[in-house]
Amino acid sequence: MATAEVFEFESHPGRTLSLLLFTDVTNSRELNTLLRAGKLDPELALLNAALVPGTLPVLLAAQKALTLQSRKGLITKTLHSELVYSYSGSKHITESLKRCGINDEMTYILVARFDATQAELNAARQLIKGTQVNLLNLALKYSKELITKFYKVTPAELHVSTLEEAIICRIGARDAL
Amino acid sequence: MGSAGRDGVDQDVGSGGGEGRNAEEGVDVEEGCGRRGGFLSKWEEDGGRRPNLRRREWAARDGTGWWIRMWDRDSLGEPVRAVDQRSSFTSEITMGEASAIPVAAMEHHETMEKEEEPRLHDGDGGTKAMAMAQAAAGSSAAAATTEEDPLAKLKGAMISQGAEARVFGAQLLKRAIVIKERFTKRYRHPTLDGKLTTRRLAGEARSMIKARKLGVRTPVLFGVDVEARSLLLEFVEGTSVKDLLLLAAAPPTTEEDGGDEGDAAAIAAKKKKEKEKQELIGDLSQQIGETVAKIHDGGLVHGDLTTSNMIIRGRDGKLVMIDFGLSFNSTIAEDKAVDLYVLERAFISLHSKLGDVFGLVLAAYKKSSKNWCSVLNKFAAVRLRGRKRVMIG
Repeated sequence: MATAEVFEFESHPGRTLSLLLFTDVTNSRELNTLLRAGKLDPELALLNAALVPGTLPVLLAAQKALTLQSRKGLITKTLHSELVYSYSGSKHITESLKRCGINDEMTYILVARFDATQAELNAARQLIKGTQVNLLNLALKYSKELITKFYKVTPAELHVSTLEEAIICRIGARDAL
Repeated sequence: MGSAGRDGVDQDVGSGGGEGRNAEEGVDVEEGCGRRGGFLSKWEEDGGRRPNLRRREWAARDGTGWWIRMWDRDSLGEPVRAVDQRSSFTSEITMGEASAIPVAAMEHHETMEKEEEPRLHDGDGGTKAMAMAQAAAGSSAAAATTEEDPLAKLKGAMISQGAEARVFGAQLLKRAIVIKERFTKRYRHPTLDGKLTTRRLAGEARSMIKARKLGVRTPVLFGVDVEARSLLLEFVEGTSVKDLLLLAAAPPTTEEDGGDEGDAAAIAAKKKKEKEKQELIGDLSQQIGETVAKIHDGGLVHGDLTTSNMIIRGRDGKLVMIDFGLSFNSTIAEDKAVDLYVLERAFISLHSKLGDVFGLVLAAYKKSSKNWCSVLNKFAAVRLRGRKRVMIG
């Protein structure tokens, strides 16, 4: 069983983000229902892993969510939904959650939790019926078509930038657009 | 006092006599007041004015189309903020309404002015308007201290300072970044200043993204922090084109000249150096021309094209464009021509020792741009007249 990777934030010392990557997930419908009812225990951020080419964009979205929490207050209901919303680089909440979050048929999911304890991570592993894999798979299994379509990445941009950088720019600039 | 200096302003106000009225009736206004131009240019021009004058006022256009009242300088020569009743009008004006409001606001102000005059000279928070302005400034300052905490933790040493912002080094998510923090300009009304800074910040971020979409290399944007008036950008490892060209132009060191000048080895070494220099210049000008062509073809004007705003990345030798703070969207050839003109002036003032580098840049621009013909035609005209349009008519 692969271990979760835990990341820290220079701007928010003491807070951490744990990431778990799952393939061949079978119960995404169930997870979606629980999520919408607000009964997901422990509270998790569920991302469509095909949109994630690396960890940096996710970390940036998490950092934005944390900053927002310590300042004005969250735009969405919970910190974890804020992460999913921030990941889209769009201001439209429902659309962002729909696109970056999971749907009923999804089999490739990235799970994130803030300040997770081992017990919570184990509970998460129990909750999600799939195979946990190493985060390095992110660089292999992302969908270039989906990312370029969703984030509107032009071919000219890909000449000078990686997909990760393109996503990061959009996440970062959301407040200015 | 004819209307010579007021054409630009009149057109914007829309109602012909508005500006003239302000200038001529009842208010002791100096020659040339109210004409187009930023507040700053007026101050600079008036460098020779005596302090302690009876307060003069005029409506100045702060480059964004806002009408603001500027009071004279106080006895120390410091511009005193406009904190009259009229300020409350400007704070309610949105950009689109700017042309409609000023006349009415100015009228109102004229009547208010008499009462305000003695109170303002108190220098304390006596007046309602002043208290209001101070409260606004106070609350924003208080908010800033608590809200700035996440960002303040990141901030490292200051790297440089420009006219609009300071640049700090920092680390975010284990990457080297740069925090570009815009100043508050305290001579401006606080509400105005806030809106202006936010607008410029958003504009810079948007321009950077747009430039990326056009295939121009820019630093990666990690975040925009509106409360802290900052941009979080990737730290680009490399040297600026300006430094590279200055180094190339530097005179050869004595060790190369040492010894017999007829020495074949010395001559060969000198020739090699010369060749390398020419290659460098050729490569740089090619990249510059291509990049500027891409920017212009995409309907974007950089606004501050100088060699210090271009960095050659260490890892792949590619040109990265920075500082989009003055950029704007424009498709007209004139704006692009002015952009090129600014670049030409930069080359002439800094790098004339290296020969006609700008000519090479233009050649590369011609090859890469789709609209080079109209732009270069306009460019020839701009070269003759200078940056600003002719102010007649």
